[in-house]
Amino acid sequence: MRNAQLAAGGALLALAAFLFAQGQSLSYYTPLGPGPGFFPYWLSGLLALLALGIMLRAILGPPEAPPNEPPLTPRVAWRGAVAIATIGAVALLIDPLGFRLTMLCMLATLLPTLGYRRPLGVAAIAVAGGFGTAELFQRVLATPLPVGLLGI
Amino acid sequence: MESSIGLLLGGLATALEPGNLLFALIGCVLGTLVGVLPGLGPVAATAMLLPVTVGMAPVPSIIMLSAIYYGAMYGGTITSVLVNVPGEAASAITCLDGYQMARQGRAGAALAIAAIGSFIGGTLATMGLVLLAQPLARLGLRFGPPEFFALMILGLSLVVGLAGRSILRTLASAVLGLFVAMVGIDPVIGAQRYTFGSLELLDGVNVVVVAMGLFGVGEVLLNLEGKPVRPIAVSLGSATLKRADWRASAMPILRGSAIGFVLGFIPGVSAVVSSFASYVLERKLSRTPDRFGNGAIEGVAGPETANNAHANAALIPLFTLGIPGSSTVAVLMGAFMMNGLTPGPFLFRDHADIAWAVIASLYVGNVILLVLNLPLIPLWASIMRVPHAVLMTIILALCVLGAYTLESNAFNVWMLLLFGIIGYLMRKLDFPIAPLVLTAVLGPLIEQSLRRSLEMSRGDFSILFARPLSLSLLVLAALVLAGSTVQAVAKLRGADAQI
Repeated sequence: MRNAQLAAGGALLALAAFLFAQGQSLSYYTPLGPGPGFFPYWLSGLLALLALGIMLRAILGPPEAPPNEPPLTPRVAWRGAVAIATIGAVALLIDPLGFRLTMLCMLATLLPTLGYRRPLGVAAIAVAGGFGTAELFQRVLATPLPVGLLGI
Repeated sequence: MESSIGLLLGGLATALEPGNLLFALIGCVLGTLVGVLPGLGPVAATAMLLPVTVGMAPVPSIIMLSAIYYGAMYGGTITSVLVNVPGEAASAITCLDGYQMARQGRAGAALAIAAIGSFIGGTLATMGLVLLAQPLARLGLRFGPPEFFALMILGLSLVVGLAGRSILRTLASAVLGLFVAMVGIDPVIGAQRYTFGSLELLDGVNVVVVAMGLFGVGEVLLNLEGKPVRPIAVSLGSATLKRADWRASAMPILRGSAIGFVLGFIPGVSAVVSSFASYVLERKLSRTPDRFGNGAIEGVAGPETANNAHANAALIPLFTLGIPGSSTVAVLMGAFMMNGLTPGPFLFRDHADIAWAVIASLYVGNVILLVLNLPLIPLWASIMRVPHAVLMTIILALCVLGAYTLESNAFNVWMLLLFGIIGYLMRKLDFPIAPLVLTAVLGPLIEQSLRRSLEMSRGDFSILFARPLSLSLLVLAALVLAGSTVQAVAKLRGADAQI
């Protein structure tokens, strides 16, 4: 927990420095009063102080009990990585491939990866999720969903 | 006041006409259904279904949209309790105890108390709307930027009350939320901030996507590490509340009604503030605050009541002054305009019949929601019987769908993923998530009101302390902050001593 908190504090400190640097291009004060850089200036300073506080507490303070969580196994890490990659792939493909096919692929990938391995069940959920949801949203809820290059 | 009650009774007769009753029922069902989908909260539901009502007469059209509005508010509760994913930001706090109750086999009780609390909160707020609309709106008119800033600071000071095991991490989470709120066009002079050249970021980061990522995707990623949640079979019997549940919930429901009502009528204050404030207050007043976060029924009753009371009270400034208090109410205002009606004082003068019919329909809608939701609790709870892998996949799919449909762009899916990963890391590192969501909502309001205050005083900060109302609110915020800090430090010292 101590190393994790040190790393978290370090990451926040780096983030504060980055946000401060980005905020420098914004005017701090204008003739009307505080400018768009006013809040970024003070908040990045506050975030840096809090990050230092977290790091100091990790170094000097009493050890904190780690949260009661199971260890991260390679299998679990793989599942998490596939889930993240799948959402990323959806973001990339939803416009060119269309909602129906993208959602069908997403469900057909995630269901077996996360542990549901009945082929018929996977197929039914993927088709219902991809095509059924699109019908519901477009016909009943009148919400447009993207149609891909294949016209689906 | 007699005339108000007479007009209300006239409105009730209109609202109870079979056609209007049917549209209220359809609105409640659709709102609840759409509210169950994470990300598709009241704004999206109302906006999405607005075109459906174009061909309808003004009264049924607005009655249906109002019903969708508070139906969606309750729908958000269902997913918070059953799958730990808030349907909309205001029900995020319900996850803390509602989901724990579900894990303990008490999903039915959690949803029942949420339905009852929503009914009572909504009905009391509507009574308030009838009785106090004019005087309260006059008070709201006295709120200038300094008072508004002080009010926001009071809301922010409650964040410390949400501290988990570390005040530093809680405050860091709150500051991160403020940074999220700063992305986009600066609210005063229109400069771009933290947009990195992205057109999609010009409008800022959508708070619903942030909440969906942090609470939905982050939770799924964390869930993959643990043992699958055992499906919970909830019968109608388990939705029956015990005497102890009623005793524990009675006062939180009354206090939640008051909090939701008072904060709801102030334009710009989100329902998130009401539900968070109610939760923090109940935890503070509890003799056993440690139960909060572990399935305390008060942690569901109070915020859910406040949430619904807020939703109803938020209509006060719209009806009396023509000011939309929230984005959903702004959509409702659009519905009024589409029907040739201008909300505000003239509405009561020129179209009193319509105004009072809509107000009366709020009572009717609250009854419909209660009648509809209590028997349907087992149906909603049956979601828990779905295999864990299927449920996790469906949640991810719904989050992706919700993020995309919110603004019809794939960029929100990237944002969803980013905040999902951040939510996962925050949970692993023991950073509380709720303060980030709260400050992401309050951030623009805080900044806008402070900068406008300083513009008024030409940069002189004393304006915040020179006005009695603003000073009182700031003093109250300081007291809340000091009290919460002392309490949290004492608690942490006690915890450290046990290690």
